[in-house]
Amino acid sequence: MNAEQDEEDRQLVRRHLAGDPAGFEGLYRLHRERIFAVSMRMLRNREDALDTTQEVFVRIHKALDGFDPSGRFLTWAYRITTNHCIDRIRRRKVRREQAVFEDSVGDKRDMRTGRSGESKPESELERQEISKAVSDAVDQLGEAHRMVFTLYCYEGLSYGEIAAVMGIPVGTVMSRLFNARKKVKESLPADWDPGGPRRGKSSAEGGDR
Amino acid sequence: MSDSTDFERFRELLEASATRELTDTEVAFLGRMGFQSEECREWLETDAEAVDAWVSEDPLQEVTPPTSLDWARVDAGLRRAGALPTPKQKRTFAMPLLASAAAVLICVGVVYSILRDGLTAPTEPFEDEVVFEVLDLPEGDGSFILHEEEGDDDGVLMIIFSNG
Repeated sequence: MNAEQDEEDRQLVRRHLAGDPAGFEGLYRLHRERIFAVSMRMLRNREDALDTTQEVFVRIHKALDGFDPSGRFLTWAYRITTNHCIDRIRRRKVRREQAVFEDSVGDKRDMRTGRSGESKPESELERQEISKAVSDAVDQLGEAHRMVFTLYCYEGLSYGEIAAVMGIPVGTVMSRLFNARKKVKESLPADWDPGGPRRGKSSAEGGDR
Repeated sequence: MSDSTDFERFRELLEASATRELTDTEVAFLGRMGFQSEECREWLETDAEAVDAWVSEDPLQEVTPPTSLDWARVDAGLRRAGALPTPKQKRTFAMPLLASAAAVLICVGVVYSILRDGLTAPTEPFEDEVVFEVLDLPEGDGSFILHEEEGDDDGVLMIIFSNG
């Protein structure tokens, strides 16, 4: 989130408010990949992330007339995105519970055959394994902790920015992130050493991080 | 309150936040100490290194952007919702631009004409009356001739009817 970007966003918002459709279209073209990436990391499903991106921009278009151009567009867009993701996670949980119920009374073999027969390169399997382990660990988190964790660890937002996006005090961001990390660490396999270097931005970015 | 006591309270509150809702005062204290105290900030980052290393291994660190086909689908959804203009709407939006340009040209033309010729007095309103002009024309010029009297050979009376 930088000042140049904010100014460009403001100009596009003003164009939209002046009745120029190119204003909203510009905002969409500029931020759609970012919104998709946030959705993808929160939902961990490509189709859901694409649908969410579409829903988010429809929502933005409807609400943009009431947006104060002096505020940060991206913070506002992140807030709408996290709310949509929370909604989708809730719906997905309901569907999953239904699926588990249906599976328990149906034929379980069908569900297994789809995965077992495929042969994939080792690196691809490893990637999937890592992704699944992290995904499961993040899935264990409650919605609120999950959003804070994703925005901090994946999107690189600061405590202050997360507080603005989620509309909560900075102290709450800190406590949620602290507890989210603890839970993720507990749910990851103890013998698995990721061996990757620590991401520089967590420690290197100053300010309120 | 000493720094060590603050640090102890900071830790206790973070641990407690896992099991209960913190009060507004406690949340404010966490936020303040998290920024002010280096010791508190470091402790806040407990487990951060291990978890960040995990997260850095996650393939989702680099999200593959959607394909042009994916975006076409999203674009279509936005058009259906009226958020993006359809190609037809784009054309209709271009029309007012042309009309505006034409209007500007006309205005410039009018202003130029006024500057060049000045403003003339308004013309008299149209009056519904017939004007007669009586001309004394030489004889034999082919005009329609009315002879009022037999002996009037001196001239020709021509009547012109003019409307306005």
